[in-house]
Amino acid sequence: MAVVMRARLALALLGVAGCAALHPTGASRLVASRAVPRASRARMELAQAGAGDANERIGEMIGSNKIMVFMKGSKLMPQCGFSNAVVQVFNSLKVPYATFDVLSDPDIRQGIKEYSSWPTIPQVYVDGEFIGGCDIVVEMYQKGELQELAARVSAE
Amino acid sequence: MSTAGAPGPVAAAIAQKLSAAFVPVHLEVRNESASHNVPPGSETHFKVVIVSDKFEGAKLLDRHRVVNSALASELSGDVHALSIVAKSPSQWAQSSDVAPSPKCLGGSKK
Repeated sequence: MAVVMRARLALALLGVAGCAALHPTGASRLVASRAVPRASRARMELAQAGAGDANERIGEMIGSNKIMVFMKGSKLMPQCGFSNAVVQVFNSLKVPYATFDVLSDPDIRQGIKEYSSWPTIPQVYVDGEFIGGCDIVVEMYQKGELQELAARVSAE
Repeated sequence: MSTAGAPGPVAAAIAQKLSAAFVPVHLEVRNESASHNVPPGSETHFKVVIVSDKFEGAKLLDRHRVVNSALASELSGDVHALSIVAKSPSQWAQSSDVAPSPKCLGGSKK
């Protein structure tokens, strides 16, 4: 079973070439900006998008979602191969997870790099703890560690 | 070292910094920019495979953090994608498989 799932994932990871033309960035931005709570957006305007506000919003997101993925694009339309790989991994685990499209918000895009002291996107938090980016998520998945972690936090 | 021709200046700087920081027993710096939506000859997307005694006993996240730190100036400059395989010699002996990097989806403009 696990072998079959891994083989399927490998196909999913490798079989994404040529999708870019179907994914105009404008569409994903529209979807993602709708995902930002109105209250957060209003607060951002009040605070003139200060760094403190970005940190607060990041803290809220990782605090209220057991698995939180900061990525380029959305679950349905990832805009980067690394982000897509992370989405494919979590989809295959069949656990609930939330995503935020950093392309929709320059403050979060920059803010998350400082928040995690991590220079690249995607970034994954599980149970409030920084796990890493695409390479780490895929390696943990291949070792079976991610499945255990995801099952544990989802059961809580 | 790079996928085509001689390494460019960024690839050379990455190799030099990683060699100095980790004294690796194995080091590959692959310029994967050609697979991405950037002009020919770009040095924007890299994969590094690095095997060093310094990674012995270090957690996966920490191994990646120290590699990112060593290349902080590149990552805050032109390099916007860095895939890392960082292993200790004993881990490398167990498996020297290097997974292919994901294909570009075209939307990750800097």
